[in-house]
Amino acid sequence: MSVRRGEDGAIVLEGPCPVEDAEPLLQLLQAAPVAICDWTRCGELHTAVVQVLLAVRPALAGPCGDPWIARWLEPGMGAAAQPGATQV
Amino acid sequence: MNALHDQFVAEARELIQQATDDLVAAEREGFSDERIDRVFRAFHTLKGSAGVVDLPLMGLVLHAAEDVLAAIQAGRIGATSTLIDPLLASLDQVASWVDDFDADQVLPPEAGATARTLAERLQAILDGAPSARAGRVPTGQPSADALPAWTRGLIEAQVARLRLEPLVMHYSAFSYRPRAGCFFDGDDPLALVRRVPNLIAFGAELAQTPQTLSEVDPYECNLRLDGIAAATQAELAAVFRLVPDQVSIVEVPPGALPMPPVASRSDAATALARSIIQEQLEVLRVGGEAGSFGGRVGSVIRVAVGALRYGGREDLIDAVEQAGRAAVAQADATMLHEVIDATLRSLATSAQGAASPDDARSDRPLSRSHGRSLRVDEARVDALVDLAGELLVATHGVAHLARRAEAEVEGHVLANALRERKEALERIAGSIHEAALQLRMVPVAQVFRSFPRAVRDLAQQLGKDVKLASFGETTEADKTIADLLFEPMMHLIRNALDHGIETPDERRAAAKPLPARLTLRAARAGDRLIVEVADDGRGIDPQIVRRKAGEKGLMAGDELAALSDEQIMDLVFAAGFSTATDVSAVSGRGVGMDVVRETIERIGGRVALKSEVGVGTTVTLDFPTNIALLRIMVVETGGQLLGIPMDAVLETVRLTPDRISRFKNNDGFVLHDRVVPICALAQLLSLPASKASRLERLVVVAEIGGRRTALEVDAIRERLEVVLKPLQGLLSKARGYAGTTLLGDGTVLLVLDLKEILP
Repeated sequence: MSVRRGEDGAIVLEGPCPVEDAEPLLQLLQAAPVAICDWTRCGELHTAVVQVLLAVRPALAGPCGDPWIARWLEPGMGAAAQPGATQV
Repeated sequence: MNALHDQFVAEARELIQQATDDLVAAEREGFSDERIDRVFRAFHTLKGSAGVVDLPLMGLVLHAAEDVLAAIQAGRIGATSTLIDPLLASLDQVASWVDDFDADQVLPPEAGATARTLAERLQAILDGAPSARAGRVPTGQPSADALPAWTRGLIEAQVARLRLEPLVMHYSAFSYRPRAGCFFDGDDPLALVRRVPNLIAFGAELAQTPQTLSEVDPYECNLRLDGIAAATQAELAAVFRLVPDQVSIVEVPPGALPMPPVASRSDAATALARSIIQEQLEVLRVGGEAGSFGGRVGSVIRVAVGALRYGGREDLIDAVEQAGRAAVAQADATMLHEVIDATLRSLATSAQGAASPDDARSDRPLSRSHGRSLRVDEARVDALVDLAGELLVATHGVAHLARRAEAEVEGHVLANALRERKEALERIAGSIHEAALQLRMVPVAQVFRSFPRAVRDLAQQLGKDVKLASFGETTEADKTIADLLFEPMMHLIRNALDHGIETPDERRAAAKPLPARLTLRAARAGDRLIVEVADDGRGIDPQIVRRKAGEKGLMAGDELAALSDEQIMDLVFAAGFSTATDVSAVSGRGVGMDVVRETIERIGGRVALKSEVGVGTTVTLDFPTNIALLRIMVVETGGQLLGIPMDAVLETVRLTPDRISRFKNNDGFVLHDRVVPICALAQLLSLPASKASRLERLVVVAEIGGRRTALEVDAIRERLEVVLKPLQGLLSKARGYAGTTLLGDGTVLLVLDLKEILP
């Protein structure tokens, strides 16, 4: 599973995130809507995963580990939170 | 990097230098037919070579410059400095690209925007000229208005982030609305977009915004993906060929896309900052009640600093803030006036030169493009020099063989033959060493040729009228020395222009000739290279130096009073000394001359300054023409490490007590039928004698002026080749030491001058 809840409460995306990750990510975000999402270590993100992030717009700890997303979409995806900071 | 690339880089650097020289000269003396032809050829050749190594962006800039040069050649426009500036700027850019290309084999990512701006700037010259070329505006393409709304919206939304490439004639926009059920079919729409060639803008948004979190459906695709690519419609259609029903693609005329905002925007910011600061100057001028002075200065500084920050010129803030504090402290705004004036000047130059924000401070356009080639890999030459040195040392071994042969029965015939051979070998090895060193010799012209451009730019920036004259450019020096020469000379030139040479008004008032003269001179004196930087400016007043030195606390008042004018002048080289009353962007914050001295002395050189009030200042640098390495032996005695020059050392001997006899009051021993006295090195230097008494005694036999002496030491360490640094300051009068050198671990090693310490 490349989507998990980190020890500090942040939601961590790690490695390539295929289409199957979209649902668990959404569930985690629904459970803790203000949790920070750390995508610094993610690999290539599937469209479905990106769509969840676009819909929920969680605070993101960047830079995004997927360079293509980091270049084209991250700037438009709201203020990035500092990695390690907890809001929960 | 292949041979073709290497050749391109070397050739391009040469052409750029030559064209720069010619352009600078042309500004001063005008274009002769011959000169304009030469510049044109240089640009033309550069453009051709850029094409060969596939650097179209470089070609674009050079082509635009070539058009301007062609217009000059045809006599349509005259060579003014407004015209020379952009030409020089394009050469600077090309030079910097050549460096990038040399290092990375590609141009930096922002090269596209830069090339476009430069080409447009050059084009603008022609457009303003009487016979501007017509028909360059692309026609026959759909106009911006004909675009669908979504494309126009996309362009507007992405305006700040659009990255346009010059030379690209085709742009196409796509709007991709993937089917809701596409995830179930295993589609990844973003993966498709990732394959779009030359994407220059892209955005993703939800087609329908969900009202609550629970409404979000992770299985249904609800996205709209819009983007622009530097590609044809057909190229995009190929990418989206499996989903033609979900995508619309339109061609975007380049005219519909905004210009790259980078340059114009920062220029506008600079201009705004400039006008705000200009106003602050007015505020200062207007004056007011004495009581409100501090507050007024405070608000002026705050506004100016804010303006500078906005204009992206953080580098100037320090100077302004400092001047502000000083103005409040002294209740006098004169200096603040000057600093703000200087700030305005540097803002003006950066705006008009479309230069990068830190140009006024950085030396980038002034520095030589690095890696001027010897056309032979330097490492190979160095290896040759090293080997020649070793060969020389190896021949010394033959002398040793000769001595051993002597000891054999009937050996002296062989010994003589060996000595003869040794001399012949030594002669040849010496010549090889000399010849190898010659390979590293380069004319100082390599250093000097970057100065005309630097002087021109600086003079322009400072509003001074200066003519540069250089002499003795063919004088040769070791490449290492020549390379080290640049920094200190640049520093001296900057000082001369900034502090030495007066403004044209001051010179007229003092009835001094215009333009002012700055003279660079190189000459050879024996094995020394003498370099002079002389100006005919205001000179340095020893009285001011004396006073300043007192104020800065460099020396006590009575000490200062005791110094001669000459010694006082030497204080200019003390750390933290500066006679300039204001801090300017070009030079001087009280560091500088001490750095010059340090750099020069590190390579065994000397600096001297001569100045006459109202007549000018001459700084003379005096170097060895090559960095001679001194071979030393490191010994330990009295708990200290010391260096002994190898040329004096005959041999080292471990003496058993039975070999030592007492001669008069001294211990001595017999070596090669001669009595050699033994002196404890520690005793000669008044170091504590070693406590451990050993049976064996270790001595270094040295010969000075035909006399042999055995120096007793505690231990012998490694043998080294070092660059000797003369003793400085308090130590300079210490006798017995030739100088110091740094050991590999950073400790300072004193090297003995045996002539002075031996009894």
